[in-house]
Amino acid sequence: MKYTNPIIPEGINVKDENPLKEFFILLFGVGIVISLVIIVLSVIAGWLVKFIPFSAEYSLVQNMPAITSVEKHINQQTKDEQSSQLEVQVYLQQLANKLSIVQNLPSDMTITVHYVADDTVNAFATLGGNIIIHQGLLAKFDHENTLAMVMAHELAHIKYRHPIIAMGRGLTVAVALTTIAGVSDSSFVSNILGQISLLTVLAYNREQERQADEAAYNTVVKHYGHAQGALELFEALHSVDKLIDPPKFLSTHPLTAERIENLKRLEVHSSAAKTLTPLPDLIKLEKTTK
Amino acid sequence: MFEIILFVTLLLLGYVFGRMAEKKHFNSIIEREQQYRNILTFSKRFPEGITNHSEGALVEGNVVIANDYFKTILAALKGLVGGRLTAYESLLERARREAILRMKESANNKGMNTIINVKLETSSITKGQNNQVSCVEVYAYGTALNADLN
Repeated sequence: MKYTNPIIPEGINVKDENPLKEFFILLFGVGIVISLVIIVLSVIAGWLVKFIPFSAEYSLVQNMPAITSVEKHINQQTKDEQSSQLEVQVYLQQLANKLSIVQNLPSDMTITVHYVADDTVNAFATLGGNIIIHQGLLAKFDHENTLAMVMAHELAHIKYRHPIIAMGRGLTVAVALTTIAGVSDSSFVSNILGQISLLTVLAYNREQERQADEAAYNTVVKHYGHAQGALELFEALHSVDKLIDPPKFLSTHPLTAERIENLKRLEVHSSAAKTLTPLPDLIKLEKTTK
Repeated sequence: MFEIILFVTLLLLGYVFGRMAEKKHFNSIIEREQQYRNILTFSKRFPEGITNHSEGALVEGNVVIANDYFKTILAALKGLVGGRLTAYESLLERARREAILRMKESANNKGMNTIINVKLETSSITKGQNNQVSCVEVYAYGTALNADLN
């Protein structure tokens, strides 16, 4: 028997094709489909989650680490610090209560204000009617009107159930992405998809911020008779913004300039004397000790 | 933002160097296949017509090839919609041919001209490990002989 060893031509198993075309078709195709799925899911989740009663939301977060850690922070302070902080907290709570009446919050919504004595320039509303305000933010304000704008903004988030909507959306999207990533058995895919989905979810958050801004503005006008001092908030925020200046699509809050524009459209010309309410002395005291 | 930049950078690195490495490897494979053309390989245990052969010796060739990041992403995307995983096809083709070449090289060093009962084993050595670029191992082995083929 005669054996020969012929030369096998190349290109039977492997063709020298440029894979870039295939890559982009797949990336955009999959990207569009996944984005659509996530938008639909997050709209449905955002709508359904409103049917969770506030009482259920309230009991859900009683043991949430974010809230208990704030309490722990307070317990670690000395007695003197504790009492002065307690006064600030009481003042903030009273302001929140006043504003929540003006804002017509449903009677079953209990608002709890937490005051954290650190330099962080931040305030946020979270599940269960909890509002957390950092000392660093208070230090930026000169008048109660400005603080009231922040407070009313956070109250509006709670009124419109934004925290639980955000959580519901976040969970739904996370579950959807985990499923897709599980199917493809690759964390790379979830990485890409995560980036795509982030954009769609952020767009909703900006809409919510606008809604809260508007409600806060109306509340401040109702409470003080004018919005003088409330717009100071954005000047204060602007000085922080300048340090980071994130591109618009990456930021959850609308850009400060955009927010001022939005509010100017609402501006009411009131004949009432525009007197500003100063912050109480105890907050000024906290400011100087820092 | 940082994640996106990192991702695109890795993708570009994978694409550029992955393609370069593949091209270079294929050229080297084609060249060496010419060099060892005289060594015949058989999958049969006892091919007909082999006479006057020497004592047999085990010869083997083993290779591990890593996939690049770009191909991994491409394959992961393909995994969602189905279809031919061309990205992995070329990887496996390279691995098989390289393993056989190394086996032939080993036979050549022993002064043998025929390898019978050639078998290939393929395994993924990163199986089950997430977040890792996959790599494949191909192991070729057979019995080398110095035989007259009539």
